[in-house]
Amino acid sequence: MTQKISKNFWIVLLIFIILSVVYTSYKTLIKKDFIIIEQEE
Amino acid sequence: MNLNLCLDAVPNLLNFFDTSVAPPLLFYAYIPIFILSILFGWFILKNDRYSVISKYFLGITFSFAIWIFLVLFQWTGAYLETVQLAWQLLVLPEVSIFLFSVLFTFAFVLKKDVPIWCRYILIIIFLFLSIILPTQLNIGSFDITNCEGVVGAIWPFIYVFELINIIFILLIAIERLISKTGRIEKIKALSVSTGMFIFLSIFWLSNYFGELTKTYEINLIGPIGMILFLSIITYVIVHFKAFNIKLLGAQALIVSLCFSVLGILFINRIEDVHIVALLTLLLVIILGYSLVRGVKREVKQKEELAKLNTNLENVIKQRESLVHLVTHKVKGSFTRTKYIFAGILDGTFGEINDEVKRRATQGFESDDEGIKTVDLVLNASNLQNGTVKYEMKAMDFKEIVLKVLADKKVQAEARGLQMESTVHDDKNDVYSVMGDAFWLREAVNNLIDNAIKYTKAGKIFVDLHDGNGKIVFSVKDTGIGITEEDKKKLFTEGGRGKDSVKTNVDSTGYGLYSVKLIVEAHKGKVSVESEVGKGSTFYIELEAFNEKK
Repeated sequence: MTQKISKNFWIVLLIFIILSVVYTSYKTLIKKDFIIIEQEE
Repeated sequence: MNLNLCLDAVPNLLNFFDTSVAPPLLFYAYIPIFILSILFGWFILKNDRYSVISKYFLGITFSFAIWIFLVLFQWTGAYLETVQLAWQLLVLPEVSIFLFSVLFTFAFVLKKDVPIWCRYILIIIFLFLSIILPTQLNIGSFDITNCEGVVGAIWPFIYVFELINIIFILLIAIERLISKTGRIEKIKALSVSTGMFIFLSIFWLSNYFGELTKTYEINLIGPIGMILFLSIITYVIVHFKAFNIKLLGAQALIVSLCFSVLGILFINRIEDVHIVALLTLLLVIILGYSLVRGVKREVKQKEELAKLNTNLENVIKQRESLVHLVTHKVKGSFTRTKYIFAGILDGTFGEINDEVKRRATQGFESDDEGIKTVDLVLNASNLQNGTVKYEMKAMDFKEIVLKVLADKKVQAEARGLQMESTVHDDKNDVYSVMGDAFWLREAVNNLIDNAIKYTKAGKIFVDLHDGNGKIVFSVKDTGIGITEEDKKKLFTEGGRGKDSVKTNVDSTGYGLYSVKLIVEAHKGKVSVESEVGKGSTFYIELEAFNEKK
């Protein structure tokens, strides 16, 4: 078994994280797909 | 993009942030530490780029900077969508801080990179976090009244996971403490793991209790742990030379002080100045103490170095006087036996037969060679320590070359070598130089001698010409040649070529060194062109002396 994880693998992981962040931003900022609780004082 | 304002929020900064709701110490607690973290990480990576420890350290500081950025957004963001996004993204840098801290402590304390399975776990954790990021497991809902997120079901597990990381760091420190390592290694390991432990504990406690009690002002204490951690890292770097950085103490102190003082500008209430002053004082004490000790050690090292230097100078002087004593004694002995052989040869001690004559001639020549070698070493030594006083006067360099050539031609032919010379003598050629005739003759003599000694068979070409105000003297041989590696040490003290003794057993390594010292004293240049197996050409370049000038 190789002792190193290839550089490309880390890049793929980084892209995956970035995609996840971009998707979350899109969902929250554009689609506004989150649950809002309105609390009465 | 149509964003909704938080309840009662009035954007007052860049039309995007509402700073009126922020606690008084918010900017002071976060902004200087945000900048300091980025600077520290960048500085260490820049200075110690190839070590895995630096990369993990950058991981901590970079994640921490993103975390602070998102928390600032949570506090001051005026639009509920942006605040919600900050809440959602926070899980990534928060978990990263803990993971990189464990990796850093492991690599720093145990002096090896983490095993491959740790990296697979790291990948799985990040994949998992990326998947849950947009889901309600991460941030369940949004409290529109207070404009803050309500954490989802995963967060209790994240707090437990972070706690496991802290325990892991403790275990690494304990492992090093009980292992058989040197005292300094143990102090180093203990300093870093303690700093890391304190930082993560304060960070975790402030986050956990802030979340538990919904009193987010507690979170402001969290980043102070980072200052402690950075201070300890600086201490370790200055004292134990961890990372390849030399001048961190002073830089860290100045940068930290600048930002601490800058932070005061952001304080809204005068009462908070006390807290800020106290923090700044703490920083100055830790970094200043570390810096002063570093400087003290440096001064001590310099003093020791000066002492060693004086000792070395004394040793050199003693060696020089010893060389002089030995060479004079040796030269005296050679000279005496040379005259005895000369007496035998000229019949002072009566008639001798052919065998005795042959032996006496050998003895005479051997003594003569010995005297020349001793002279060479003595001259080089005198030239080197500056005891030679040059008598500079205008003289004809061509005459010197012609005289030496006449002497050396016999010597070369006796060794079966052909010697050719070209002395250009046009009307306009000037061979007048300002120099010491004795020493210039010595230099020319040494160069030709050198060519004779290192050429087994073939020719030696001597050339003298006037090259536009420069007198160029060159000696070309068909000898063994010089390798590129040998060229570098050719004109240095005792600098012989690797294979030189194979051709010339009497090689002292002082001949060319003397030539260089003499020529440079005459503001000239020596150089060599050579090809292994084909031969070498040595050049002496001297400034022509023009009386009209």
